[in-house]
Amino acid sequence: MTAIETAPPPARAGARRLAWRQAEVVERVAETRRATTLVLDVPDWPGHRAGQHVDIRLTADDGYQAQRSYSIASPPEALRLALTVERLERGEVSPWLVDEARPGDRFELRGPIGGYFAWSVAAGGPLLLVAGGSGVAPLMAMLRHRAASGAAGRAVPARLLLSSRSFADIIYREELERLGSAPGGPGIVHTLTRERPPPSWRGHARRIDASMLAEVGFPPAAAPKVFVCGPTTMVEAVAEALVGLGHEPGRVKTERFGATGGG
Amino acid sequence: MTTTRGFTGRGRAKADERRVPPGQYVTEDFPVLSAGPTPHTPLDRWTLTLQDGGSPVGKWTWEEFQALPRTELTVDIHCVTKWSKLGTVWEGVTIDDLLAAAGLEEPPAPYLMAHCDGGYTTNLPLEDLLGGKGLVATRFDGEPLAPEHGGPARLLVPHLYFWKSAKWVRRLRFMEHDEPGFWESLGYHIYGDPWREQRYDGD
Amino acid sequence: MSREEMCSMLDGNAAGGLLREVFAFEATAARITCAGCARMMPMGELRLYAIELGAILRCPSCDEAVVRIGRTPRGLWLDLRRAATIVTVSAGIRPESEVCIRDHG
Repeated sequence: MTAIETAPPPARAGARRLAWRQAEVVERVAETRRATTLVLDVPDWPGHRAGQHVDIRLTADDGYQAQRSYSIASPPEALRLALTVERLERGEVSPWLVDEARPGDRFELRGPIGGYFAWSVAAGGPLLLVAGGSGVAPLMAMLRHRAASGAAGRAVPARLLLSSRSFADIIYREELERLGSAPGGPGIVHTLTRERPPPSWRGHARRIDASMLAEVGFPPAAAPKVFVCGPTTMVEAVAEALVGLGHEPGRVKTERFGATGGG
Repeated sequence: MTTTRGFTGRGRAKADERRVPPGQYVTEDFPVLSAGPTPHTPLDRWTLTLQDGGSPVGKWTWEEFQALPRTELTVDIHCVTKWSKLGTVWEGVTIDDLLAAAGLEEPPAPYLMAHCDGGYTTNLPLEDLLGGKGLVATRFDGEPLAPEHGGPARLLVPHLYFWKSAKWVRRLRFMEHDEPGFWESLGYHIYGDPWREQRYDGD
Repeated sequence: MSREEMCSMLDGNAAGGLLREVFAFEATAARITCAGCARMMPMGELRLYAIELGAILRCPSCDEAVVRIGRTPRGLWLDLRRAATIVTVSAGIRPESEVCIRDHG
């Protein structure tokens, strides 16, 4: 077979190819000094599964465009879409989203995208979520979806292991505490990698390693569904450690963010 | 296409039209764009081969290559993704000097395919490489070329879009007819002249 | 945080939008066989490069460029020659409804 050239797909009713839509910023929520959540109105949003992402596209006055992908942090049950974005030092799009975007601003968005890295309560558990920094966003969508699913959600054992640079950098810290302390809530374990934790700290204080995963995670015999998301190096180390502990590689799903940043 | 309030993108200097090809913006960065993982060939295993038909007509180890005549070039480079970087300084061996070192008074064929560690390829007419237009570069900005930028050695053909300046070059194969390389077979222009904005097939 | 800023390697999930332009099915969950080493995996596990020009999706075991896509203003150019099979996953949950597409290239 030689390379096939395809023309842009014609617009037609029922086409399953993705179209760019207009998203409008409705609210901005400062999560940490580096991360902001943008709550968006997206007309005719078709719905999504927790873990999926969107592509967004910004256009400058001279027509220059930049496109990036961001995980959806809101659960399918939410009325509006939420994206949690971390400002990258030399980033091009994240500084605009984190520092500049305000209610009323519009940009292009398409999605939802990604059938591989997605979970719903119907898929069952146990559910093990491992996140580095802003990699927690798609996993938070999963926990929010679980919380919104009542008894069926509570019936799925779930744990989150979240690695952050410092206490102040823990995204969703208070909401995670509330989720974790609710009856039937997920187990939440934190680890800090850069700063010394406060004296009352009960979490870990090092990079995620095999012994932490063995202690915090479900045993391989429980056949948990595992989702790992964060910086590339962290995700690879965690995935390798999980497989080394005996988890089935097919049940460990990974999503890698850029090479730097995050917990 | 609606514009996004307050978005200007990466710092883009106003382009001097005489120096910067159409559609390009000037950057101070040196973005890395790769079609695969960065190879790390140790210098004691590195060789560069000139190939005609099935047989090598020239082959150099790293030491032998370092002993060839060196040329320094200061040039502007233009990436098809629209960034241009001005006044970049490179050092290496010109294709003219490479052919001379192989004892070739004339190129045995009008086209050449560059083959690289990692499998990347790109095609070029010889007339776009001779007369000092093409270099096998081993140094950038006074330092050995970093692996993510194509080190130990890359092709440098600055008058064409930068995807033609193949990173991690190992073999230059003469061809009777022009054949598309890695990106050229995926819709990118077979020649790639930034001044005629030949980014894609059909431009 | 963006998946694409400052990096040249990601996984196939980040190419999801582009893959949806090419395929009518949800491609990141579809399983693909590497023609280089015969490993079978979801497309989301392939390693993504060159998203600025299209997408080069490589096998995480042997680095073979299993799916190559060039994005041009006039369309997408697709090279699947190094993919031996692609198994789509239907929108329903039942795994028995998989369809196997073989490439004879």
